[in-house]
Amino acid sequence: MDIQSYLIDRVSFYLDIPVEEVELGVPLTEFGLDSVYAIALCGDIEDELGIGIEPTLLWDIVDLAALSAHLTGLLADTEQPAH
Amino acid sequence: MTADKLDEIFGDPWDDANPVGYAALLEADERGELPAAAGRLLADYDLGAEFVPAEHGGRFVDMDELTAILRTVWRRDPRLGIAYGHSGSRDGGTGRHLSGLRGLEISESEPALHTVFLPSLLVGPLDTALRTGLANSFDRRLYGATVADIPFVRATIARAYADLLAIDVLAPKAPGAERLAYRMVVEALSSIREVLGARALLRSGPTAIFQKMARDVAAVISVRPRQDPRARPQIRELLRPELTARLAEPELLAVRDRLARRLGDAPVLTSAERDDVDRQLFDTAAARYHDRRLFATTARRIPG
Amino acid sequence: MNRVSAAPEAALDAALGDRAQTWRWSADGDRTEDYPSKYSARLDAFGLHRYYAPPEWGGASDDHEVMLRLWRTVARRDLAATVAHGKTYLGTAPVWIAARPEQAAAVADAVLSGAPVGCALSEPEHGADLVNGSVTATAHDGGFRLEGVKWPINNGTRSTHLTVLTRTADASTARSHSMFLIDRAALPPGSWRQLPKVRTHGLRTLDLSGISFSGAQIPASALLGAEGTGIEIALKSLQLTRTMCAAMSLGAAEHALRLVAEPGPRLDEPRGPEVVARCAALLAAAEAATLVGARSVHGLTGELSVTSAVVKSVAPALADRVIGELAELLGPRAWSMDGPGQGAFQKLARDHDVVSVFDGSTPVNRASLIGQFPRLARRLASGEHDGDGLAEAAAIGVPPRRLDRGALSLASRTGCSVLQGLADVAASDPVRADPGLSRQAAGLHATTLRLSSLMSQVRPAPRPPMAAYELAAAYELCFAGAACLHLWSARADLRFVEPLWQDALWVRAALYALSGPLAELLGEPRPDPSPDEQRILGRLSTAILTAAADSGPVTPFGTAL
Repeated sequence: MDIQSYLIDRVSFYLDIPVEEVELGVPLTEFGLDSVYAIALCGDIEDELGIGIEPTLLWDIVDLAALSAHLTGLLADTEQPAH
Repeated sequence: MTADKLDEIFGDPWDDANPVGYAALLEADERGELPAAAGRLLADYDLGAEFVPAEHGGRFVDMDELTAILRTVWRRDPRLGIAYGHSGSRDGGTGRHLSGLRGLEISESEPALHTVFLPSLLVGPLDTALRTGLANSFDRRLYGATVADIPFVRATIARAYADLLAIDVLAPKAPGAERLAYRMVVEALSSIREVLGARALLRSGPTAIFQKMARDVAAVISVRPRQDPRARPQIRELLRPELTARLAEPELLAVRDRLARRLGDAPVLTSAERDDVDRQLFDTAAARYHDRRLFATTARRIPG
Repeated sequence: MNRVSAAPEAALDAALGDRAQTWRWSADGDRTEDYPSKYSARLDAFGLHRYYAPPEWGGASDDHEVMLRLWRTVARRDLAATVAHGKTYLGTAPVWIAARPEQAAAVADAVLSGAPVGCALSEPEHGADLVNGSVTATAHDGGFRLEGVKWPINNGTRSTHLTVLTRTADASTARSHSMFLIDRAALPPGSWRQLPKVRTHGLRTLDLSGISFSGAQIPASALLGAEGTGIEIALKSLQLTRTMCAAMSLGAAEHALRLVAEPGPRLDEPRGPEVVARCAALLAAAEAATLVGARSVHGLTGELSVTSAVVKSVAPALADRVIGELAELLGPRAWSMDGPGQGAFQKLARDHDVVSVFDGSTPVNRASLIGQFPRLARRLASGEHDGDGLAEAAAIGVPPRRLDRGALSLASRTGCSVLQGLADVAASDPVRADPGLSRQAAGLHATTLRLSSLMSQVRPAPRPPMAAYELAAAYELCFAGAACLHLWSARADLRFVEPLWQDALWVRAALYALSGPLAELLGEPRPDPSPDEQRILGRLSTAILTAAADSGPVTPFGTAL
């Protein structure tokens, strides 16, 4: 699944702005995505991607590009065979 | 004598040096007393004359005028209202234990006895409480904006204002009106308490008058004869048409909607309509606050 | 009732002693506003403070259900005494979450020797807005320098240690704050000032004061957890303390109910028994929500971001309603000093007014719940939940698994199993066995599905619309109803031995009592009580009045006086 598009779509919903205005390289807090959104977004990501993350991840990650990369990496890890 | 005149005599409630200002009234309240200066002022003014018709040497004109005058006292301190509010002289007692509190009745020598509708007087302390809530909201910043910018606060204030209006336009003789009005006052005060947060609990500082109003209202309501809870009020009987005529359309809608929800009827407004009405009512309440006008339908200018 | 689990409460009640004497302490305290030292001394002698440190650090027990019951027992007599003593639990919560071993050991020593510990989160201009806090801790001289005012702090003057949330970086993000553990005796003289106690409308005996730091130097070893984890630690601490605060509401409401339900002229009112029944039913719902909440600390630890917000709102809301209805019934006797218990009612009402405001007011908790709506709505519709955790949360009186603070999460992964498990419990044998109860359970479940649909339309935001707050309030009432059903289903055997449990009396009454407020919140019309509802409430009023006359339990999991 296209994680980037998913994230853009979620942020656009939360902030009630058109998807075109969601920029991948702008720090999340500059968008107004503060700690309140981190909790909701975290829940969405977990439910959609089937992985476990903490909202604090969203506090530490700077922008959507980095978040997308991190989540892609996490998914790849979970898809590795157990051995 | 008019309510304006009495307000003028009472002066600015926020003036710490004012013997009938909030500071003085709160300080006396802490001691469980009524301030002597306030008593003298009301004695000089001869509040009792307001209950006596002109042909008997008094100043009584009509119920609404008397209510407006009494509300002026009750807006400052309900206990003052109780102690001096009838027969013009002190009943004795300091208002401390609330025993010996009698119903508010006009001079008993008159054949046309009216009882002042107590919920109508409670609009006084409710006005003060709402005003305090608004003052605090415009004053404080939280989460990067003033508290008054927060949607929850705006809606709460709008609805408390609607409740105040509802009580103002209530028909005293309608079955169940009094009991409903008491519930509305208590709940409106509760909701303003939520907006004030921790500041609602302080007995000092700019919001201190709130907790005194809330306490006094609870005490006063408790001594009224209990209302028959089986009376099922009908909305159209509850409202006084000559007063609802003074309401702007959003206000009338809000009043009817608040009453309907309280009575367990279907709401008058849809969710979207209610948001709209809340917005308009907040704006009106805020304008009255900034303009130093009463929240009740008269919207009279007051000192402070 | 499982009398074994009532043993600690009975022992504490005995240790507190004669009620007339403790009432005099309460009445005097309300007048003088002096700290409730006599209560504290008895509570210390009983060893209540030993519950505030985890067993691995020498504390008596981990069991939050037991601690809740002990606090409720005190709260039945005096809320302020309970809050004053119990504040050490809040003050130390950050320590057990984040401390290094030597820090934890030092605090445990203090706590177990009876020292009060305070928690300094709030600031005059910031209230619950922790991320915008302005008290700073600047790296200096190998340690940190503190600057700014923390207020109000419970036990602000008396505490020997304080856990303090400070800003350690400029950006207004959630990583700019750190938690410190401060030993007040070690603070350099002159670098801090005690702010005086504030006078409050209720809880007048509390030591509610503040502290002003001006360049107070503290060692690096005072840092609690890693730098930047302050908000996270604070929020997790609040998950525990907000859940447990509900004990105050249960105690206050029970006290109020007993004052009214004891034999006397107040019940001559035609509506008297009905009001008593409705209040008892709401109190039972509050008790269910609170007990399930306290046990969720152990069994559904990861869900506390939801549980704590719900319980911290719903318990005071229901207790406020109970106290308000009883005040109306009592009339003048509610307020005068000659009333029931010589003024006990007006004191507990004023004291309880504070509960819905402190430690995260109701709007703050509802905002937190709204932030979790998207997931909660999804799971409410799907019904998936943690069955094992829920079973543990409903097993009242059974010693729970050890609390693993590492399992605390800021965003419940599993949503809220209490509500999501509603379909299952509605279909359980104990519920299906009673057709009336079964109907009510189905009705509640249908309501939650309507609610889920409304919740899914809410966009989480830092400043949610009013309608979202009403949905949060509805969610809380549904939680309380669901908790009632879970507890009924887990112990339906008690219907053979306990009067309140016969024919599912308490749970049927509770669900009826919740349905009116729920309908109002959802903008639905409220019909008059059905004949069945009137019958149930009539039976409940008889049971409650009998119980109160005998000083027996007035709630399903309550204890005698």
